[in-house]
Amino acid sequence: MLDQPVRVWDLPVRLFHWSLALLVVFQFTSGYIGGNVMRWHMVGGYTILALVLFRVSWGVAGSTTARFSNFLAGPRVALAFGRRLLSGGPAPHAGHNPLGGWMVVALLAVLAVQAGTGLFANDDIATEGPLATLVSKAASDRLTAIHHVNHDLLLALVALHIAAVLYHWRVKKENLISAMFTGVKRLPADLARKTAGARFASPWLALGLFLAATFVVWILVSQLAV
Amino acid sequence: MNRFVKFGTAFGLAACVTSIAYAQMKPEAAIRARQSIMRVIVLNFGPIAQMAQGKMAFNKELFTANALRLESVWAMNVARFFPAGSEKPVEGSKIAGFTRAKPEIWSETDKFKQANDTLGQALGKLTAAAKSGDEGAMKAAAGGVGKACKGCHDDFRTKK
Repeated sequence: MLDQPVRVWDLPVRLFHWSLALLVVFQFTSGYIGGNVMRWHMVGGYTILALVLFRVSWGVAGSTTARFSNFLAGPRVALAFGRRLLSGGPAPHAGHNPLGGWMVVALLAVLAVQAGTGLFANDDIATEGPLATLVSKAASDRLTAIHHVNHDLLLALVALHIAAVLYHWRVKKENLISAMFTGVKRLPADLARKTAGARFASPWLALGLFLAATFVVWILVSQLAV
Repeated sequence: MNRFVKFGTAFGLAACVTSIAYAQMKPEAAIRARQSIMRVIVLNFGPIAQMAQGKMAFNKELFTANALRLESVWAMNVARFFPAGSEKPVEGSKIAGFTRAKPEIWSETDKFKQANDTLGQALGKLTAAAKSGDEGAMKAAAGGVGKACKGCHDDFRTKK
């Protein structure tokens, strides 16, 4: 079976992925360092919130491979895929595979919780989220505790995500990383034919959705607590 | 004579140990003291950090006044209000369970002292910067104080 290059990821998905990855690294780093950089930690959090909102809307209105309906599989399908993944043979997928699809949802959910609790968090030193004044100190403390526990959960998910991608690369000989840069995967001919029907939504629509998400976050962080 | 010196030394040591033990603060009093100092530190540092992070307009007089007050508060030596046995208030106390001090404060005393000294140095830089009147240096020094606070909290304070 001859592998053929097929376009699977649109530009908005790729830009979303890598800007999110960079921002998450920045958030971990700035959170550990503290001090004046906390100002940018907060801006990073707002941006991540906007990116997550955008990705959810793109999962409904975006390109075929970006849609939740395209990659959300039931538990039985996901388990069967997991077994195939661990057995010897190749397990190529045009878009997200059934397990990867659940990782997308898990990461988005955990990031939403992280950014959401951050809005209400305080560090007992000199930094607090823009909405911390809307709730009691005790509530802010509880949400800060969630921010800390969820941080560990996020770290675990990120590690699992990277480990899975490395497994695909080294063991299954599938380079998902370069595909996330170029948007192109090399797929077996039959799968490539099936993928040819994928529809790609306009990147301008993506830009519009991202701007709308940014506007929502802006209202949330600067207008709500006045 | 020799026996007298030996006995005297032993007695003297015993007396010292006893008087130190008697002079120690009650745990509850120590907890109240250190938490009060921390509150005053936050009250004074809050506006400084807000200015340093651009969330509040820079006001040199306010910044300097607060920095100098922080220097005085620091001179109270908050570290001495962590006597052994104050990792929790005494049984039945009204503030029982009210401290988030970690046992590491008393098991890693060198590291705790170092964390304490780090904040002292950061506050020294803050007052020096405030006296110099250089806005950039003042803001940078404020960031250093925030980091020192966080560094000690991360290691010696239980999470929320």
